[in-house]
Amino acid sequence: MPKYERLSPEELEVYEEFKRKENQKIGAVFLVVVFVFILTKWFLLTRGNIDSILLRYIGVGAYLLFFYFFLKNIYRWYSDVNYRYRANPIKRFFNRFYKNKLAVFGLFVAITIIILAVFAPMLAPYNVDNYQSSWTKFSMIPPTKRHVFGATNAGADLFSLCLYGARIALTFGIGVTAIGVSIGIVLGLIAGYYGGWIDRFLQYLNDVVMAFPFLVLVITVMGALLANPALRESVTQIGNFLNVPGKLFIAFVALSLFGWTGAYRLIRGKVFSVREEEYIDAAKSLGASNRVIMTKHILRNSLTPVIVQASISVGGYIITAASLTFLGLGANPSIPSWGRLLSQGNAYVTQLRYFHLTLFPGLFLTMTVLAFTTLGDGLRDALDPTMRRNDQ
Amino acid sequence: MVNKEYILKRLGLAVLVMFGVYTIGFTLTFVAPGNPAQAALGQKANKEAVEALEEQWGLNEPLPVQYKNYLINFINLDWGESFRYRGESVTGILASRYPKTMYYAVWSLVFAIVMSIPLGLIAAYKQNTWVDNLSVLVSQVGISIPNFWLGMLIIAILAVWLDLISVVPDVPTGSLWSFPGFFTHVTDYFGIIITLGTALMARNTRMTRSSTLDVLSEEYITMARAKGLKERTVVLKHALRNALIPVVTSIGFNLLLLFGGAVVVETVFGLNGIGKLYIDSIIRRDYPIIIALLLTYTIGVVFVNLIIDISYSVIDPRVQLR
Repeated sequence: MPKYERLSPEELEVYEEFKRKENQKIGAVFLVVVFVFILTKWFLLTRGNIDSILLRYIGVGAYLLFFYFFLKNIYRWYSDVNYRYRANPIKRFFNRFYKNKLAVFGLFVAITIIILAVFAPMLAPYNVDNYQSSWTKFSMIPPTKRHVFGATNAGADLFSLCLYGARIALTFGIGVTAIGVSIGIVLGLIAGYYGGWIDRFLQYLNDVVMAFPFLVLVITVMGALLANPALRESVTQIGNFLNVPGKLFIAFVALSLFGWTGAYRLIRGKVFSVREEEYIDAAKSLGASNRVIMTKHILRNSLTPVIVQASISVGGYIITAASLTFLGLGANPSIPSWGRLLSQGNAYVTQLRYFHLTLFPGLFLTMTVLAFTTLGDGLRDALDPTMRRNDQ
Repeated sequence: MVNKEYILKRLGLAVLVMFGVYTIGFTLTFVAPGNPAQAALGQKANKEAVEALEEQWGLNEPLPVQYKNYLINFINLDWGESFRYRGESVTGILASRYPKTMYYAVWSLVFAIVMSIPLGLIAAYKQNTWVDNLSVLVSQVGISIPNFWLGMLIIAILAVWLDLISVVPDVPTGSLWSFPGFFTHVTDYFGIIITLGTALMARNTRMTRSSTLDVLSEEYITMARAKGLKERTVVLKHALRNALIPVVTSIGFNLLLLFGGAVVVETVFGLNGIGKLYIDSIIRRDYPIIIALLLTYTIGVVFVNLIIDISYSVIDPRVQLR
């Protein structure tokens, strides 16, 4: 039993007042910490301040650890003040999740890659965005002390390029998933709730999209968008508006256009099963509107499989984007991406002394995809152990 | 019993889906003007010649007319001439490229199924042992590894470093589908077979494992054991048969994945199959080939799916087709 329920009404009032004030303080402290974090990030950790690579790494690590403790203590303070007794589903989730070692590994790698991507300009030993013509003397050198992974054809440091490549890969993976899942949820809710011809039409559209291999469909869209000057111009302009290079944005659009089918099928199926439940009837008889029933009752009950599927599909989109770039259809050549590094590696694949060009970008790519796949699997097991695992 | 009504319904649905595939394919290719006639004749060609060629290919018609004409020609099996390889018919090009890709696609499927069924079965039977953990790890890595990178690793390690396989085989497609050739040429295409097969193997292992886990907890397995049957018979005869249903049902989907894989992997291995043909046609805007490839491939997959579903209702009378 919660302690404060034994309090008298007057004491309870005092307690509520105390809680309100404490929460205000916590909010203020939290904001200050985040603000300081953002400010110091720019002032302290720029390339000019620290020369040694190692020192910079230790610096960034210590810096992150420092803020981690701050946030942890703020959270403790918050949970002490707002103490409430309940069977904690979050705790249960974490207990289950931590038992799955592969999933914990996935989480660890995914967080590492995200940190590497976010802090790439600070962590990378060379600023590959700003190519120096003096680098040509490093052309194709194997791994050395100064170039941990070796260098590319143009002499740019492969390790720095791999770090920068993580940015574009994650942007694609997470961005396309977010767009695809949002479209899929909306269409799935509409199809499942209204049924009728809307449902039949969307189902037909889904069947047609599923009749293509995803990569083939995306390549076809890329081909169309790139070959049509008017279309390309308009898409590029939107891209420019969003400050994204044109070809990259075209690839992004091509992927997002058809990424909705997975979430759509899950939500639609779930809506069909949920809408027969009695609590939906109850909500209806209480006069709940369609919108409330859809968002509050149906969506909340069908979100779990979507989260799992989203996590797994991040990896799939990263592979698709890399394949596109590998084939010369994806990101602009000037943008560092794993797919482009690998296509350079492919040109020298029969010469073993240039194997570093193949090995390292591929390792980054595979580890990232593996991380998101295992993470999704772990989420699935932890969120809903009864869920079947043989779906595709 | 095979339900005739069901087959007709499925065929009707298949035709509708094909129509949708055609519409999407047509829209995505023909909406882009990038003049193929000019490209075929070169930038210096005079205007009359370009216009004559456009008329010959029917490109000067309005789009809805082209849409109709292409569909009618396709149904009449008159697939026209390639824009890129002047004078060569689309049928001829497809006929020379399909057997090659189909050859390693079939072998990849065989590799995937032969590897995945024992692995998945043993993993489920010995759940939570090291075999199970290994199979989970193998399938996770197999799903996550990008096929083109795997292909590059195989070339670099198996072909160049260890010199175990050859990478640039020049095999006449005729001998691939003859009797001894079908088996002897596996070594020539070993690299691409493994590369394409790994992802399928990983997927199928997962599926076999989970469906076997489901089946093993069924009551008829307990019943079979209670009857005193040998454990071998229980697993191989009673459990395996039912556990394989999802794996066999997804063969059509596997073929779809193989096409998607071939598009990238054939570039890595330098093979001229349909995947490479598709990429080249997209880049050079070779409309007839794009449409013909898309339609022939999807028709194939749809029919494989239909045959599998029908044969199930014949083999297993409990499966009701509706």
